[in-house]
Formats: sequence, structure tokens, C-alpha cells
Amino acid sequence: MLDELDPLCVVCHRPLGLAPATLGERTYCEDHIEKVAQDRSSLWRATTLQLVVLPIMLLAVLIGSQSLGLRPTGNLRVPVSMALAVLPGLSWLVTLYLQELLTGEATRFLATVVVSGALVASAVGLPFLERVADIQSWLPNGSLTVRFLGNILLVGPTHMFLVYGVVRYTVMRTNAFERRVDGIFYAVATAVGYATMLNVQLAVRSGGFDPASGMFRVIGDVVGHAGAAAVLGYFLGRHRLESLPPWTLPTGLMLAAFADGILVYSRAEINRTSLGLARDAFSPWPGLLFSFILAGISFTAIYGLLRRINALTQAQLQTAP
Amino acid sequence: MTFRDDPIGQRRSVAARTISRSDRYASILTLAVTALALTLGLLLRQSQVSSTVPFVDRTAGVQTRYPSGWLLDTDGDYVMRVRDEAARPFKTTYLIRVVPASPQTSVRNVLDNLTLQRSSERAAYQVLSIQEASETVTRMDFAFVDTDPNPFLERLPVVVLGTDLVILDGDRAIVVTMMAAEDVYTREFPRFQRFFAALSF
Repeated sequence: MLDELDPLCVVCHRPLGLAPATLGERTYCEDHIEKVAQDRSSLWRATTLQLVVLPIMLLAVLIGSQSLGLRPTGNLRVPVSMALAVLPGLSWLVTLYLQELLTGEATRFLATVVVSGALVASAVGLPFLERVADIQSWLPNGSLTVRFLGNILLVGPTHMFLVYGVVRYTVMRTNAFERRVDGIFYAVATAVGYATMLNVQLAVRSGGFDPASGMFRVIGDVVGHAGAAAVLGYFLGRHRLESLPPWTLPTGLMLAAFADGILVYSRAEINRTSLGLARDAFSPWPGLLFSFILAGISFTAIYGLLRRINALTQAQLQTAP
Repeated sequence: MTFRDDPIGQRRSVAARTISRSDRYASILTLAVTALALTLGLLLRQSQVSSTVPFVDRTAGVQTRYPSGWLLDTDGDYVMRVRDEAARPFKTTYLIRVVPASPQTSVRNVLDNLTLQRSSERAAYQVLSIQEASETVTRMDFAFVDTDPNPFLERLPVVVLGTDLVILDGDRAIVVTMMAAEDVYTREFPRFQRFFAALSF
């Protein structure tokens, strides 16, 4: 029987001896203290690869639909649109999975968080935004300030809180979550599943979309949500494995929600400006470009912060008695 | 049941021992902050919804939202007309008209008819520009001078700027018009854009 006073490893919950390894107030077994500050290079490789592959995918669809005239009609329109809606997310997750296999990493909860992300998007995210908040009826018609605030206060927090909820209640308290970077890994995977479901729903409800214009939105959504989720994941990883003040996690969630809200707002705004009554041109490129820039900034900043904090931890562990 | 006989409960209680008080506060704070953001968002929605009034005309198959406090009139040769009664010296006006259109009718025909009609009704009526605002919407800007019919009333004539947005919709054309005094036109135009964006037919 366990002694109530025995310290436990925060990851595997094994009872520890009298002088366990610690990080702040967290106690670790010998295996897991080594892992806290380890990186997951497969995540960064897969992400970089996707930031290159997705524009190529878009170009291929553009060439197919615009130059070769491959535009599905009739009964094919919805299935093809659904396939296109799934394609970027699937590509991201397959790349992530293969990279994990190549590096011999555990991917136990990858499918769980992706499917859960998709389910909460369909069961909670969309119904809340469309039926309770009813954003379509008032948000696009509001003033610039209202549109900004609406996205920051309603859209971003809804998306990011649900991503947080999935990670928090599936993988975060298991021993699969053993490194800081795991927060980013699982949050990004959840967000990709979440964004994919939003796009599938869009394809179904709109009776299919034009491949070219649809792909702009689909890829922009996946990249943007993943970029915002990386911010959330960073805070989740640190909160889980370090002793941080209680306000750190809500701050991280709000930062991610802000990034997500800014993304949705700015993309709509860039396209709205192009479609404005005083303009005669429409181009979805600036919106997509903005998604990539935001995701690039987010991933680069998080990568840098994580490297720094991991290096500090490793130095601390090496000097520990 | 003892602690030893309940392995699942034991695992749960073991896991719970690794959750600090700070973790619990963080979870509660996260919920609270999200709830606060969503509540503020829903309050914003409420204020927005109550600042406009829905308008539905089932006969014309047109619906939109117009600013609350504006005076609605549906008795003329239009689907609806709303006016800002507080605006001085010219009441800012939005107007929706549905004009029958044959397959041969072009947007230009609709705009020319409007021009002919207005040039006989409005003083110094002048078309300023015609352009395609998007694939489906054609925009015509115009100006005229609004004078009071009572010549003894001491009031300067007002230069009014207006915009027509024309959409061909099968066998009809939908004309959405805004008219406002020259000095408030630019300021009022974004609100008109929202009025137009809320239009469905």
C-alpha cells in the first residue's frame, strides 16, 4: 500500500524515494526528469514540411480547377469538397505520424486528440457559435470595432478553450505527456482535427465549394488554428510539468484565443476590404498569406521560447546535486 | 471497501496527489476567464442585435436589418424606406426598390431609368460615376441639391450625395439606395455597407 507521505512522480505517479528529483515543486522519477526538457524534433520537422507542402497543394488544386477545368458538379461536388476539406489536415497528421515513427516516438494519443478535436468542433464549437452566439446574423454586419471584439471575445476563446479541453481531459494527466513539447504536439494535433471538422461542415452545409476558393479557406483555417494552438500548447506543457503561478495557464489560453481571434478577424477583414463596395477586385491571397505569417511567427516564437527554457532546465539538472 | 480493494480508485487518488492546489486554481481560473470572455462577447452580441431592427417583406422576398430609431415607411413605390429623423438638414435615407427586369434588361437600363426619373424630380441631379462594385453588384454615385419647396423658409439648399447598388436577380433588379448630406455621406457610408451586407433576397 502506498504511504500517503511518499512523493510521487508527476508523470507516471510512481512512488519515489526520500530525495526525488524536483523541478520547482514537482517531483519526478529518474526516467521522467530526464525527459521534461527533451525536444520532439519530429514536431518541428512535420510543421516546417507542412508550411511548404500546403501551398504546393493549393497550387495543384488551383492549376487543376482553373487551368485544367477540373471542377466537380452535380453529385460529385459535395464529396470532392469534403475530400479537399480533409486533405490539408490529413496531410499534416500523416506527416506528423510518419515523423514520429521515424524518430521512434510514442504516438499513443495522437488519434485520440485528433478525433476528439473533430468531435468537439462539430458537437460544441459550431453549435455554440452558430446557434447560441448566432455570429452570422450580426458579426459580419457590425462596425470594425464590433467585428474585432466579437472575434476576440467569442470566436477565438471558443475555439481555443475547446482545444484546451480536449488536451486537458484526454492526454494531459497521462504518462504520455512527459515533455514540455508534448503540450504543443497534442494541442496542434487537436487544432488540426478541429479545423478539419469546421471545413468538412462548411463543405456539407454549403453544398460543396469551388475547389480553388475553398482550398484558400481550408488551408488558411488549418494553418491558422494550428499556429494559435501552438501558443496554447506551450503554456499547457509548462503548466503540466512545472510549478507555475495559477494565472499562467489562463493567460496562455487567452493569448492563444487572441491569436486565433485576430487570425479569423484579419482574414475576414482582408477579404471584406477586397469585396467592399468601393473596390472592384477580389483576391483571397492576402488572407492566406496572413495565416501563414501568423503561424510562422507563432511556431518560430514558441520554438525559440521552448529551446531556451529547455536549455535552462537541462543546465539546472546538470548542476543539481 | 478498502483502499486496497479498489485499484481504480487507488489510481485516481494517486493521480490526484500529484495535482497541486495551484493546478486546481489554474483550472478554475481558466474556466472563469473563458466564461468572462464569452459573456462579454454575448453582451456585445446583445448590444448589436438591439441596435438594429429586422425588416422582412415576404411579398418581395427581401429581408434586412436597419438602424433602430430610424423611421420605416413602406407606403411608396418601394419595398421599404428608412430615414434618420434626427439628421439635419437632410434626413439620411436608405431605400430598397424592386424593379421588374426582362432577360434583355441590363443593369445599365435600370440605372438609366433611375437617372431619367430623378433628373425630373431632383434639382441639379448629376450622375457622378458608375462602376462594378463586385461580380454581381453595380454601383452608381450621384448628387443633387435638396431645396425646401417653401420659398419663404430661410434655409440653404443642401448638396446630397447618393449611391445606388443594383443587383440583377432573375426577372427583377434590386436597387438599394443611400442618400445623405454631403458632409455626413462619408461618415454614414460604412453603416450603409452594413445595411447592404445584411440584405438577403
